Amino acid sequence: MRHSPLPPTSSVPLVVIVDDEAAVREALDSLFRSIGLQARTFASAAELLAQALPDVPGCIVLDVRLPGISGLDFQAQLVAQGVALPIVFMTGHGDIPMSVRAMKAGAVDFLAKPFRDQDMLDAVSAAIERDRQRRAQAASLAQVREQYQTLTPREREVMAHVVAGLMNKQVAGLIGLSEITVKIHRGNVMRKMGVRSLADLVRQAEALGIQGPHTSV
Amino acid sequence: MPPPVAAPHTPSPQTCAGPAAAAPRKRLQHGALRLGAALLVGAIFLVDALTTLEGAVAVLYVVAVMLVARTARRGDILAVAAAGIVLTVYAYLDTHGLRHLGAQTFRAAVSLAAIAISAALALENQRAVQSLASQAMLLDLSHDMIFTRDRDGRIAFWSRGAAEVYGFSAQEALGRVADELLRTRYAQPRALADAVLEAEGRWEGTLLQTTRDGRELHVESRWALQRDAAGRPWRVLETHTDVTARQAAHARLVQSEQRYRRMFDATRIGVVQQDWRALHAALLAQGLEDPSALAAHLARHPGFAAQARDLVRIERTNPAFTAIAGHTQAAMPASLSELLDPADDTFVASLLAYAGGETFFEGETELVRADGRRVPVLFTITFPTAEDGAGSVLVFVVDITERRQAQDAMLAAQAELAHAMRVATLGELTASIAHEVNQPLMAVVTNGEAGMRWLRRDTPDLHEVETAIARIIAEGRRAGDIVRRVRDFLSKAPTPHQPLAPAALLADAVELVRHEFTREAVDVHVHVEDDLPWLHGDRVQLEQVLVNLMVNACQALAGWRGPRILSLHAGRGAEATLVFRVADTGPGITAADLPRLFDPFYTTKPHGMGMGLAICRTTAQAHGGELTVESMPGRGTVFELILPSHLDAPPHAP
Repeated sequence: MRHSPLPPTSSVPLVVIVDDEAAVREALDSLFRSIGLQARTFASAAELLAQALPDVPGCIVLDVRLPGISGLDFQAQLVAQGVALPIVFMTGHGDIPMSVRAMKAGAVDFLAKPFRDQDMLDAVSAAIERDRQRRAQAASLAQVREQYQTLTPREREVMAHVVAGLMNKQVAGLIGLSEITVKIHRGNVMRKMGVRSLADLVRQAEALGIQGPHTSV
Repeated sequence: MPPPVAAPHTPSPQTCAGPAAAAPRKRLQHGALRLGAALLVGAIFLVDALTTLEGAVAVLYVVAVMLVARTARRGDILAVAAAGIVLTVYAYLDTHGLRHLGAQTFRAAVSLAAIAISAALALENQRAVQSLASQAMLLDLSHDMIFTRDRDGRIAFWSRGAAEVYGFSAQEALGRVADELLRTRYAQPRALADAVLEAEGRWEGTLLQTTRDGRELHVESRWALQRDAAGRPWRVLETHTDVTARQAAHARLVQSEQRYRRMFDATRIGVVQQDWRALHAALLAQGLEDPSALAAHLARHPGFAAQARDLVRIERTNPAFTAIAGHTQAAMPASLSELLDPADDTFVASLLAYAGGETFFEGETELVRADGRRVPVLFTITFPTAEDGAGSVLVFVVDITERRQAQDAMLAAQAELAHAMRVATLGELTASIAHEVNQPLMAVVTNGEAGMRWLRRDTPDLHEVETAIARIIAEGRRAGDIVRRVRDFLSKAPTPHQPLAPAALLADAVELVRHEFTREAVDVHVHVEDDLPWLHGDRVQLEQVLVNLMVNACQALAGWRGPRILSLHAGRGAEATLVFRVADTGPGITAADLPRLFDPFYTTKPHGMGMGLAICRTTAQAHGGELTVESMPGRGTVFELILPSHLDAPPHAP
C-alpha cells in the first residue's frame, strides 16, 4: 500500500485506488498526484474497509474484478457502511453486463482498460465534483436541521400546516389559536429557519421530510 | 613265415566254409578221408600179403598217408603211417621170414623209407597249414569284408566278415569275379584304381557295392597287391569297411549344416559370430568373473568397457548383417568397438549379464555403418554354456529403422495432437491472457501519461518522471515475458529434453492461468519444497500438463458454492521422484467417471474434446512418470504428476 506524499488536507480531493495489480495502482497513483490530487492505494476491498478515510471530497477508482469479492458486492458493502464516495469502475474487456449493473448501482463512470489518461481524469474530476456537491447538499441540510431544532413544538406545528398550503385562518381554526398568534408563530418560523418566502420554507420542509400536518420529526 | 597276404594262398576250403554248417561238414569230410585211408591201407595189405607180386606194393601206403594228410590232423597222419609201416613189416615177415635177405628185403626197406618220409612231409605240411589256418582265423575275426582275388578278378578267399555283410557264402563267392558279384561301382574309372595299384602296390578309395539282398553299401576299400617270386602281380587282397551308417550320419550332418548355413545366409536377421575368449580370459585374469566385482570395476575404471569391447572379435557375419552394417564381408571390422557407438551402454549391460551366467541378453542399440550413419537395432546375444563356448557367441540383430520411423511418426503425431490441445487450451484462456497482457500495457500507458504530466508541471518533478519511466520499462518487460510464455507454450516443434527446475516450471504454468483464478475467485496456495532435485524433460509438454490440470481445477471450482481453494505443491516423492500435486476443493469426480478419466475422447465438459487428460498422461509416461487422480465427490480432486528426478539442482541454479 502506498500512501500519498501529500499530507491529507481538507482542501485537496482524495482518490482512493483499489486494484489487485500493483503496477496499475502505482501508475494511477502517479497520474492522480501529477495533477495535484491526493491518492490512497489498496490491493483489496478488505484493506480499504479496514481503513478510516479523511473527510475530504473524493472518489474511489475500483477494478471491477477484485480477488475475493466482486466490485459490485464491494460497492454494496461500502453503501452499507455509509461510505458515500462516488465510484469509477475500471474493467478489462468484455464486461458489459457488469458495467450496466454497476451504473445502475450508482457508479459514476466505467472505464475499459487501457483507458486514456484524460478520460480517467475527467471521470475522476466529475466524480469528485459530484462528491463535492453531495457534501455541500449534506452540509446545508445539516444547517436546516439545526435551525429546525430551535423551533418550539407549537412553531413546528404551525410550520407543518403552513408548508402543507393552509391559510393562517385555517391553521388557527385547526389548532384552536387566534389568527394573530398563528401569524406571530409563522413569523418566528420564517426567522428561525432563515427564509424569506414561503417557497423557500417549503423546500426546506421537503429536505427535512416534513410532508403533512400529522407528520412529526 | 609267409607274409599275411600270402596266408590264404593255401587255404583249405573247409576253414572258410559257412559258419554254421562248417564244423559238421568238416567232421564228415574227415570221416570220409579216414575211412578212405583205412580201406586203402586194408586193400594194399591184402595185395601185399596175399599176392606174390614182385614189386614194392607197400610203397602205395604213401597214397594213404597223403590222403589222410588232407584232414590236417597230426594223429591221423601218424596213425596211417604207423599202420603202413607195421603192415609192410608184417607182410614181409609173413612171406619171407627173418632169415631171408634179398631184393625183397631192399624193396620193403624202400617202402618203409617212403612211408616214413611222406609221413614226415605230411606232418611238416600239417604244421604249416595249421599256422596258416590260425592266421586266416584272425582275418575271419575282423568285421571288415576281406577277400582275395587273382589276376582275373576271381575270388580266391572270402572272409567270414565278407560272408556276413555281403550275404554270399564262401561257396557262392569263391571263383566269382568280385566286381560282378558285388556290382561294384567306382567313383573313378576302375582303370585308374588298377593303375595306382600297379604302380604303388596299394590303392584306397570309396566304393559302392551291393549285397545279396540288394542293399547298397558305401565301403571304404583298401587293396594290396601280392607279387610272385618273379615280381609279377599274383594276388590282390581287398579289405572293405562298411561305412554306410557313417556315411548316412555324415550326410545328415552335411544336410543339417546346409540347413543352418541356409538359415545363416538367407535369413533377414543379421547374425554375428563373435569370439569372446580373449575377453573371458581378461575377466578371469583380473578376477572379474563375478558380476558385482565387474560392476565395481567398471564404476572405478570407465575405460574398461572400451577395452573389453576391443577384445571381442568378429568371427563371421551373415549377408543380412553385412547389409545392416553396410560393411562388405571383406571389410567387416575385426573388433566390436568399430561397430558400436562409443556412447553405447548396452555392451556393458551384456557384459554384466555374461558375468552373471545369463544365457542370453537382449537390448536395443545403434550400429555404426561403414558410411558413419547410425542404424537402430534390436539384438539378442546368446552365451553358450560350455566353458570353451566363449569362442562362439552368437548375436542376432534386427534392423528396427522402420519401426523406429513408425515410432517417430507416432511421436510426431502425438506432438501434433499435444500442440493442437495447447492451442485449444490457450483458446480457453484467451480472456485471461488478454487481461494478462493488458495489465502491463495499461500500466505502461498510464505511467507514460503520468510521466508527461509530471514533466509538464510548472516545476517538472524529475524524480516522479524517473520513477514512471522505470515502471514503464519493468512493465514492458513483463508484457514481453507474457508474450514469450504464450509463444513458447504454442511452439510446435518438440523442445529438446533439458534439465528443469521444478519451481520455475510450476511458476511458469501458474502465470499462464493466474488470471483465471482471479476471475473465478479461486484462492491459490503454492508450496514448493526447498532444494528440490531437478528433472529432465520437455519444458513445454510438462508445462502443458500442469496448465491443463490447473485449468481443469479452475473450471471445476467456477461457480462452486463450497470453498474455492487450489493447492499447488511440488515436492519429493518415493524413490527419486518429484511429485507435482494439484488439489482443488471443488465438486470432485464421480466414481463412475473416475476410471475413464484418462480415456481419449472421454469428457464431462459440454464443449470438451476429451483429449486433455489423455495427452497429459501420455506426456507423463513418455517422461518415465505417471499421472494419477483421486477424488472425493463433494470434497475435491487431487491430481499427482509423478516424474523421475534426474539430477541434483545445479550449484548455480537460477
